[in-house]
Amino acid sequence: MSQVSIDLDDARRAYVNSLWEKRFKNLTVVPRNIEEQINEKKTVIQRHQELQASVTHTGAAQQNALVKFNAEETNNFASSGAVDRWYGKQDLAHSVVERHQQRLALQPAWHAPWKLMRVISGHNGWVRCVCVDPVDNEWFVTGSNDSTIKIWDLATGRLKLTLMGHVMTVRSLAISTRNPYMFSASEDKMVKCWDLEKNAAIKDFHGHFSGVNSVDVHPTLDIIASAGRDSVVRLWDIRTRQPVMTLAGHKGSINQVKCFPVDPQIVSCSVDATLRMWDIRAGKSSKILTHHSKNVRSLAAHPAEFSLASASTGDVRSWRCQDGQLLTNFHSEDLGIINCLSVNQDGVLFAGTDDGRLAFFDYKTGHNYQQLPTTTITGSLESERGILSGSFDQTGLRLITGESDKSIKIWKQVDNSSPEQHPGLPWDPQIGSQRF
Amino acid sequence: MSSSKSISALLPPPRHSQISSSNISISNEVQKLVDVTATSDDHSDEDQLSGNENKGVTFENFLPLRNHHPNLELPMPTDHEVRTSYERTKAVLDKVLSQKISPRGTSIPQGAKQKANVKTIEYQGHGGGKTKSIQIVDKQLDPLQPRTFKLKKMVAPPPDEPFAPVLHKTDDSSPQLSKETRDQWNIPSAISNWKNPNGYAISLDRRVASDGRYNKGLSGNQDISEKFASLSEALDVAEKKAREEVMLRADAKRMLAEQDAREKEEKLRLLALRAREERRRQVSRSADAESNEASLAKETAKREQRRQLEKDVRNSKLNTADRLRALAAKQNREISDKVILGAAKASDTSGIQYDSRLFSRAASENALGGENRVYDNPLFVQEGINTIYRPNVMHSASGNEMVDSTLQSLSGESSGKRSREGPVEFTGAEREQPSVERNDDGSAKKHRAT
Repeated sequence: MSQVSIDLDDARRAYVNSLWEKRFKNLTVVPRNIEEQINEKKTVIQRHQELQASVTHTGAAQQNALVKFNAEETNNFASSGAVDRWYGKQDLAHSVVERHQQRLALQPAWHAPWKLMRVISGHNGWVRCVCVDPVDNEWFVTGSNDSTIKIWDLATGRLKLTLMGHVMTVRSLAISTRNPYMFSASEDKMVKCWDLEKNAAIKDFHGHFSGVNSVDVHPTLDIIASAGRDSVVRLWDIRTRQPVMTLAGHKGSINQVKCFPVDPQIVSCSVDATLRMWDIRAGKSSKILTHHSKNVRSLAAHPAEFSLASASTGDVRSWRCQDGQLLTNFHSEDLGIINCLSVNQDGVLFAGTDDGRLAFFDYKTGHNYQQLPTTTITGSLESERGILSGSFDQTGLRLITGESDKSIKIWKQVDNSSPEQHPGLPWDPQIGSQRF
Repeated sequence: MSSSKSISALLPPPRHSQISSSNISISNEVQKLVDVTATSDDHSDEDQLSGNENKGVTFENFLPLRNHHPNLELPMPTDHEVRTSYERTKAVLDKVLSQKISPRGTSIPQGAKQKANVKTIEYQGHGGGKTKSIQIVDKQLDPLQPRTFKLKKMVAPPPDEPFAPVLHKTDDSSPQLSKETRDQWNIPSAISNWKNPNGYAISLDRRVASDGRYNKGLSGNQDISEKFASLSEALDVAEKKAREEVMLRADAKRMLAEQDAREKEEKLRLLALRAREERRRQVSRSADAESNEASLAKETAKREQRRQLEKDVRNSKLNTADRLRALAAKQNREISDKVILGAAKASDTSGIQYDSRLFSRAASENALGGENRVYDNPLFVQEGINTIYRPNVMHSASGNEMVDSTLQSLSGESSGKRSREGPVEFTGAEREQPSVERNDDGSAKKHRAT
């Protein structure tokens, strides 16, 4: 018995040491004062040995200059075999370098590049939100700074209808799949419900203290969620127009809110650089994601898998909905402010930036395979290049963007493209892209 | 052995190096994370939601899961999951909604509520022995009464926030602003020298800084414009020029006046010369005849001149008052002698007539108020008014009428006519009294005539 326990202790110690070695030793920079302390404690012989060792290492000309990895150190553990036996080999193989090599070997999926197909003008202000008919995919709707909502035919790009009723910018639109209702949120503190059979506003949801930035319909329940500058998410009962619940907790204005059929049923992103997943049965947040360091402007759910993506300045990440586990860091460091995100079924993530660039990513690997600037409309200013909203249609073959030059642009993939013709940007994962 | 050699061995041990059963579970977290999707059906919601709570920060929190598991599948929730979630959430929301919809005070019967709140306290009195009891009953409140206390502020968010460590670098790599640039961007707070409703003590330097007169040095390029100097210079020049012009004009005017005077003098001189020549001609005609006369006149003139000189000498010796008097006497304004003699009297002011309205207030009011009155004075004097319509005996045409009137007055039938003192007021004919009409036929006619 005692023999076994000693073995176990050794194994544990060895395990922890190895974990430490592999994960943190090469990643972290030791602060100077601690390094000095360590050096003081060392004997002369030790210092000499280290110096020699370092000389030999540099002579060996390591391939990975960023991270030093001492392979032979692991062999020094007498009980490494025991560790493997106890904890499994997979867990020990978490060193940064190995992970990086694993990642290099990965081949991101190829997607056809995107090009501009059509430009539609008709709004008198910035096009702040785009939403595609979720039922038939026949039309899409845009909301603008000129306080109107316009419905367009998706195939022809013709204006079908203009809805007026808001008095300030329309910031968000959501269409119900179970009722012929459309919901719009505006900076005039109002959420309106439009009947698409009568083409008229039939309900007002009044109660926000400030402008409403986002609205979304719950896929199964008869509630809508709206959130805005007053930094609370409000759930409204559609039938009675009653505010069912107020989810408070964000410390800044909320940019977007999203509903899911199962927990977490509400996810919101905010100016305070956090995402919150809400438990609406308890009326509190169940998970707070603090990985982003700046204003999280957008949120997009994957249509075919249970995950979501979020974007803050130069930082796009995807999350598992269930528990908020980080899935992918997208290669988006040079993008600047990102205004909108959208994902299609093929695993293409679109990010529209504030300076008018479209970036397309492979959703699984986070590979940025295309970046293109938006086409300027003649007569528009340089400062009017900016993508404010964007959404794939239901098939995922068309991308509709609303821009600050008051136009709506429709993009499609290049026909007859092949990986040979259009290889896209090279796959070059950096260790630095494993950001904190 | 080997660990003692490496630097990392000398570092403080990692935070979660103390091995316990929980740590083993953390170590296998990744595997568990992967497995969550497979086994989620058995877990209750609470377990799932609180699954990652309070475990502390692990390295896995930073690591993107798809880096290790590129082929990780995340299926959409199954219909069963969706349905159960729907039912459970709907129950909660319906409960909340029913509370919101039902009006206040109707859900709980008032009587039952009050009975439940009755509370009795029994205690011993001071002397002991006697037991006293107090019953505490809630005061009945009007359910429609508006709230006594007003909630002004928003309710704070619930304190039971989930464990949320900050998982991003807080030290930003963006370049820090230097102090100079920060000072350049600094906008001093607005301070008024006139308003300070909260009565804060404001330091003097801030007051001075807020004063527009003193921060010229701060904002640099606020020197006085050169145009101010040129303006004042131009004003000076203009003034000088204007003065010169005025002087020139005055000179010219004076010269003109002088010339006029000279011309006039010349003319006079010429006239005098002509007159003298004329006289001389006349004199030459009757020179011999009037030579005596001329010498006589010359002599009287000489005498007069001497007297005048003597008088002047005398005057120069007088004092000021006497001199003034003499001056006045010379201009015929000296009346002191006349006063003494009683010849001069103060002018009589009794004859001057004043408008009486200037003195009496009532009159002025009348003048103001009687705008619609055309005449100042009544046409007839007050005493004559009563007698206007009276038959005057002296002026009556015939004695018969007078006799008639006296008879009527004696009979006393129409005393009203006698007492009338003003213009006749005509009334509708009274048909009820035909006898009277018959009797007074003539008199009525007479009235109409008047």
